[in-house]
Order: sequence, then C-alpha cells, then structure tokens
Amino acid sequence: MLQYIVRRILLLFVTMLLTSIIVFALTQFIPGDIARLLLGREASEQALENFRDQFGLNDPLPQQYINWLTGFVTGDWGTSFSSGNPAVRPLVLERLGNSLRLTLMTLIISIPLSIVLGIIAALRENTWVDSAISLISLSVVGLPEFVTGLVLINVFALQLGWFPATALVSSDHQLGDWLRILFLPAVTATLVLLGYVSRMTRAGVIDELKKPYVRTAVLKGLPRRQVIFKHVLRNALLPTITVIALSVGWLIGGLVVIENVFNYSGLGALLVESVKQKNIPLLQAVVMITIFFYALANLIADVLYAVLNPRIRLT
Amino acid sequence: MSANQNSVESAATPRLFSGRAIGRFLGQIARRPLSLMGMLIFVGFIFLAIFGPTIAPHQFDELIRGAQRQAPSAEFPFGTDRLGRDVFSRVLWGAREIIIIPGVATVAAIILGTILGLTLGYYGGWLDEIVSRALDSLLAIPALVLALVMLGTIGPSNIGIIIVIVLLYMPIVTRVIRSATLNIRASGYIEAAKLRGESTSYILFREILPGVLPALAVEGALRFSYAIFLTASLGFLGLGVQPPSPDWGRMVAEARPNFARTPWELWFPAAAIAVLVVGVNLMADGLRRIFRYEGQI
Repeated sequence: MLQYIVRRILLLFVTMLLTSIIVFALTQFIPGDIARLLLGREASEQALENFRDQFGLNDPLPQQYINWLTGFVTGDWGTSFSSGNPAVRPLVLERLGNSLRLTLMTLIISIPLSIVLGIIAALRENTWVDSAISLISLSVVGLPEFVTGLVLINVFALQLGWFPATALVSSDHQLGDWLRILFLPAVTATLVLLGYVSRMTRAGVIDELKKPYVRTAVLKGLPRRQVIFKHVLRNALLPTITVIALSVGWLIGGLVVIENVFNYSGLGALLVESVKQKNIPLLQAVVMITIFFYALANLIADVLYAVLNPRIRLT
Repeated sequence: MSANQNSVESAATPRLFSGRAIGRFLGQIARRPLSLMGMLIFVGFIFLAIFGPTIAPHQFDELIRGAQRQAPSAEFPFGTDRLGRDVFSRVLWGAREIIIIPGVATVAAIILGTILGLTLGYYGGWLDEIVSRALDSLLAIPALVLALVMLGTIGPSNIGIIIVIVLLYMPIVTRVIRSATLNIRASGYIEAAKLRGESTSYILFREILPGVLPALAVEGALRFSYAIFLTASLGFLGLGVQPPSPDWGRMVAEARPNFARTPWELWFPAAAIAVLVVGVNLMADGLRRIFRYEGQI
C-alpha cells in the first residue's frame, strides 16, 4: 500500500515536470517582441533592453526554462510584468485561498446532492422520476456557467435580493459573509458537476443491483432498505470517487468562468486577466498552481480508491 | 433491451452505414423522446447556420436609425441593443460561427485522433510509449486553462480556436481509439487478415475501424457539445471569436453592463446557447444509450 502511494506521488512529480515544459513552451509563442508589446511603441531601445535584461529574456530558452523552474520550486515565482503589484507569489497565493474557499463550498453542496439524485434515479430506473432527473441534470450540465450564473443572479440577487449579485471579497469577512457571497457562485458550480456525478452514480448503482449477491440477499429475506444501504451502495459508490476527481478538471474550468461572472477575485479571474495583459510570469504561476491542484485531486482520488477497494491494491 | 443488444452487434460489422442499420438507428432515436428532441434541435441549428444570414432581416452590424434600445416587438422580435442593432438578426448570424467553428474542430480532432490512435494501438512499441505519455501530460491540464494559455499566446482568432479545440480533444479520441485497437488487435479475424496478406491500411481501416465506430459516434457528439460550450465560454471571457462578428458568448458579456435597461440583449443570445448545447447533449446522451458506451469526460 505504502509502495503504491509512493509510486503515485512520484508520478505526480513526473506529471508536473512534463506539464511545466508544456506550459513554458506554450508561453513562448507570443508573436512579436514581448518587450515592445508591453512597453509600447514609444519605448526607447535602451528601455526595451533593460526590460529584457530584467526578465532574463535574452538568455537562451533552455536556460530561461531552468531558471524559471528552479525559481518556482524554491518559492521565487518571479515578478509580474505589470507595474502595480510586482511580486507574483503573494498575489497568486491570496487568489488561491479565495478559489479554494469557493471550491470547498461547491463540493459541500454538490457531492451529497448529486449522489442522492443518482441513487434515486437508479432505484427508480426507467420511471418518470428517472427521466425527470436525467432531463434536469443533462440540461443544467449542458448550460454554460455564465448562462446559469446570470439566471441565478437575476432571480436571487436582482429580483429577490437574497444574495449579493457580485461576490466582492474584503479582508474583514466573517464566516457568515463568506457563506453569503459564496452561495450563488457555488450553486452555479454545483450545476456543472451535478449531471456527470449523478449520472455515473446512477450507472454504478444499476450495475450493482444486477449482481447475483443482491438477488441472494433479497431471496434470503433481507429488507430492501438493508440490501441497498448495507450492500449495494458500499460497492456502487466506489467509482463515484474517481468520477468526482475527474470532474475537478471541469470544475476548474467552470470556476474560471464563474469567477468572472460574479467578479470574484479568485485564481480563475486572475488567469483571464494575465492572459489579456500577456503577463507571462503571472500566467505561468497561475497555470502551474492550477495544474498542481488538479493533479493532487487525482492523486487523492486514486489513493482513496485503493484504500477503500482492497481488490485493486498493489496493481 | 434486446434491441440495444442488436444494435451493438450491427454496429460492430462494417455495414454500419447500410440502409437497414441507419433505419434501425433512427427507429431507436425516435423511441426516445428526449433524444429525438435533441436531434431535431441539432438539425434546426444546422438549418440556421446555413440559412440564418439569409433569413435575418438585417445585417448583424447594421445600425438602425432611431431604433436604439427597443423592447421586443413585431418589428424587432428580440428587440434592439444600445446601438440600434437588431438582436434577432445578430443571433441568426451568430448561429453560423457557433456551429462551424466547433464542428470543423471536432471533425478534425476525430479524424486526427482516429488515425493516431489506430497507428499507436496497432504498432505499439516505443513510439506508442512516447506519444501516449505526451498526450497524457496534455490531458493533465484542465481544458479551459489550456485553451486560455494557448489563445493568450497565439492570439484569439477563429483559426486559433479551432487549433485549440483540436489540441484539447484529439488526445482523448486517440486514447479511446488506441485502447479499442489494442483489444481488437489480438482477435482472430485480424490474424486471419494478416495471413491472407492484407495490407496494413486495409487491416486498420476495413477491419479495425468499423469496430470502433460506435465509440467514435458517441465521442464525436460529446466533443461537439463540449466544443460549443468552450467556444461560447471563450467568447464570454472576451477571448473568442473577435468583433465585429456576432458571437453569442461575447454578445452576452457585452449586454451585461446594459442589463437593467435592455435585458433582452442578454437573454436571447444566452437562450440560443442554452437550447443548442442542451439539444446536442440530449442527442449525445441518446447515442450513448443506444451504443452502450459512456464516453470520456
């Protein structure tokens, strides 16, 4: 078991190394002279040269990559191109904290809800309840987050006034304030996950119900409730863990859009800003942190799955 | 139940596109009201993509004099925006790009992914190892994040969005086709074809490809729906199809500051995106159930 976990952690580092090469390579494709692009047409040759020196743009590419990677690993995430807030690390970490809060709130709402819906749909397979749940989940999962987000804002913020329309963060927020501003964004993100997780839960439960041991349990007279809760769900929900981890990739994409809809200052909003400003050091840091958390979610899912399911251990 | 079983068998033969198979397939779609609805929505939007600009009463960028901020009426079914542009016409014009860009990109991703997957799965070896690892690390980056980084560097353009979608979805298709090919490669009829002295391309495209067509159909529909979703989201974030062409996602973003005065400017393009994506999703779900293949996330 320990061996499996260690190997899985090593794999995480290999993934990070490979993706860091991809991210670095992709951010080199900016057409034209980045110094000229950022400093403007009127910048003098001397100013351009200083800028290139300052950000190491004159070094050969492999050298730049190594400098960037060692800097990143040792906690020096470089300085942002924009003059306002030059240090990348504090900004990214602050935004990361905000995004993690939103993610946590989303998971707290979405996981129980989608599992319960999936179980209900499976137990009522091919009835109108099942069709209704599948229609609702297919519809909401298909809707882009900015559409669902704007509908929710319109109804619950503008019409009913229950929640704020924008999720503005301030340093003196108490837990109650956080819950209030995070609720609508988290519900929007929940709709992203709901369809997929509930559908996979439904499929898992239906598969499990068809197995011989379920018939045995029913025939030997166990109450249906006990068969389902003590036997079926235990096995059927295992794959759901993997599904939840896989959908973290979606959730991250969804959060990028949602943070922009709600003006929430998280990592996703920062990502879009840095892309628009062509702020390469900031962009690289945001993307690497995002990939790290995505990989970490997958790692946790794999390890959890192995812990809960002795059959696949050590494979 | 038995009907589904049959479809898998018929799908596994090279005659997937025979008249009978298509008839049976349409019959299965028609028996599922939701799938049928999805299919009809999809066909309807294809119609709009082709004829939308022809039936639109105005040009997408035409500023109609004295008609700023009109509420929906008989003359302007979806109202007009702050500049006096007809929202109905803009939505009709926008149908073309939101169908064509994701459509072209999905088809390209499917074709390239199929060729690559067949080759990797059939030959295996070190080439397979290296390419598979490279594709895996591309998949380790969340799709929208990778799309933003790529568009940020190559600059937002229609071609840029197509390249991004191909790079995002080709690895997934490759992975599906590769593992299916690995399964089929070991079977008796491939051995038989080799012994008959068939060429490699014959074995790949006539013996192996038909077996993976059901999975391809489901993947194609799913990828297409994700691609529409992605294109619209990029538009909303201001990194999609560039002005002046009427992109639905960008129309929604541009309508937000004027929401209090002209809400129709926001709701109609948003509703168009919603109907299209839900329709394609329902269609993909129908394919998924008929072919009994869940598809990749």
